[in-house]
Amino acid sequence: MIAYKFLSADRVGLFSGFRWPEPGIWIDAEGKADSRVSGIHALSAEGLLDWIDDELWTCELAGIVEDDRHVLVAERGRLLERVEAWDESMALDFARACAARGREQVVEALRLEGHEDEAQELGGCDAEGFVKSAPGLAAQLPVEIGGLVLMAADTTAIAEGLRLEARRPALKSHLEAVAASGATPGAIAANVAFVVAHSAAGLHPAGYEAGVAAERAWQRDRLAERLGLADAA
Amino acid sequence: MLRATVSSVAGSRTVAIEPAEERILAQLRDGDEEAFCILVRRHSPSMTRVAMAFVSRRAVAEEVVQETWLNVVRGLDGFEAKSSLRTWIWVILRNCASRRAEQEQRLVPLSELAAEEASGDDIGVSPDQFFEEGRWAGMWSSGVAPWDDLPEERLLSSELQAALLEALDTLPRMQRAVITLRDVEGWPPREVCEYLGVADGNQRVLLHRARAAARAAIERYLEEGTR
Amino acid sequence: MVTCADIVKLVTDYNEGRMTPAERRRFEEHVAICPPCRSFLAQMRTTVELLGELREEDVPPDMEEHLLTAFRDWKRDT
Repeated sequence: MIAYKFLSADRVGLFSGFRWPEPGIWIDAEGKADSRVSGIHALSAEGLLDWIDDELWTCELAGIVEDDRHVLVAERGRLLERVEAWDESMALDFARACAARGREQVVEALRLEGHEDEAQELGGCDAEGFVKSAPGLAAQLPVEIGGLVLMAADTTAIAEGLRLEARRPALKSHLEAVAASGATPGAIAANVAFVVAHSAAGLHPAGYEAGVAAERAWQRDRLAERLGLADAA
Repeated sequence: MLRATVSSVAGSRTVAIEPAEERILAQLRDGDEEAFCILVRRHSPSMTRVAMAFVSRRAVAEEVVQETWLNVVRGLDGFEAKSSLRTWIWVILRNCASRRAEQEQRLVPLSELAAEEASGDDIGVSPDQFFEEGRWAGMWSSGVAPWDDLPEERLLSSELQAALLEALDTLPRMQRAVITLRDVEGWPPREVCEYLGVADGNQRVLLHRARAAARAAIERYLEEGTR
Repeated sequence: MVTCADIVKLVTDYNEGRMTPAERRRFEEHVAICPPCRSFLAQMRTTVELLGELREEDVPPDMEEHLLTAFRDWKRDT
């Protein structure tokens, strides 16, 4: 069975630290009672979005395969081919696209809440302009929407490789810690996509969960399209 | 086909190859002083750390370790190798340490000490590293940078080893014993629980807190080097 | 929702294989999208590896001397 696998740089598994051998060489999971602990994990195309990392590989699985919400677990597996299209450039491009939607959504939210001036100003900004203007504007806005404006700015800065702007202590953000954690392009893409999906969620008319699902669906489609995946949902 | 431990931290780990036990035993019985010294040097530091769970003072622990080796020497002729040499040495250590603890009237069972050290809310990282409230409650408030951004030599250096050993020295006694047996010596969880007489749940909390402290020591060491 | 503090608290349970599959899934889903937690997980793994590589030689000198004497005496007497 053919599936996908995301790995960190140098074919290293994110959770195990295990370095996969070159393509073609079979790996046998340790024979433990619970294969979900020690088995070979891989992804169907629908599962890619949740596990983004530096390298994308196709892989072959053998033995008992469980499928738990697009995560496949098998007894044996081997890497087949690196999906060359997924490189640092595509990862950052994806992150930037996600962040851009985050900015659009927060500008729309500002409009809906009657903050026309701020919406106008931020709506007219490019990525860098948004990052620079956001903290000052956020400080003038009600705390809730101000925080969302800053989140859009911070995810943009992370995706674009810009410095996060200083802000009032009350607006201190976890994303500043993210930016200081040496994230690779793959890790950046994973983080930015997630944060944007969850910040957009709060603004969605059909409620939080619908909001997350809608944004993740857009992201999934975008990823599949860019990777040229034939069997993406 | 390669057989690989996919989850490499739990359970068994790779240890540096040591001379076969039969060979060591034969060398000892032959009166080979170098073999004896190697054995003593190899095991004494960990034995001392574990003895400190019983008797708490380092000077007393060292006496216990010395007494253990004297007993090992005396018992060499009669040792029937029904257990491994390593197991036998460690059992003697526990006996000597327990006896000494009784003499010194330090009679709190290790299981109780373990439960005490495992109690409370300490997750291993200071709460000030996380947001306390608001939208980011529970999330990191400071960056955590990967260590592999630093040259490999720093991670393998003798200064780091010294920093790690110092960190082990400052641990509470049961945490120190557990991390020594689990991570320094590589014993599996059940063996450690049986040896120390502690419950598995407590063993895991102790191991967690000790590992977190060791991590913090490495972090501090690496930070100091980059200033 | 899984927080970073949860990851820190649970990392040893995770590494020891002492989680239900559902807990494991939630743990990994968070680490996958959180760069600081990725670093933390890797650091804990490295910490355990380094502990396993500790090679100490220090024995108090008088202890080693005393033990060698005892060893020689035993050797001589047998």
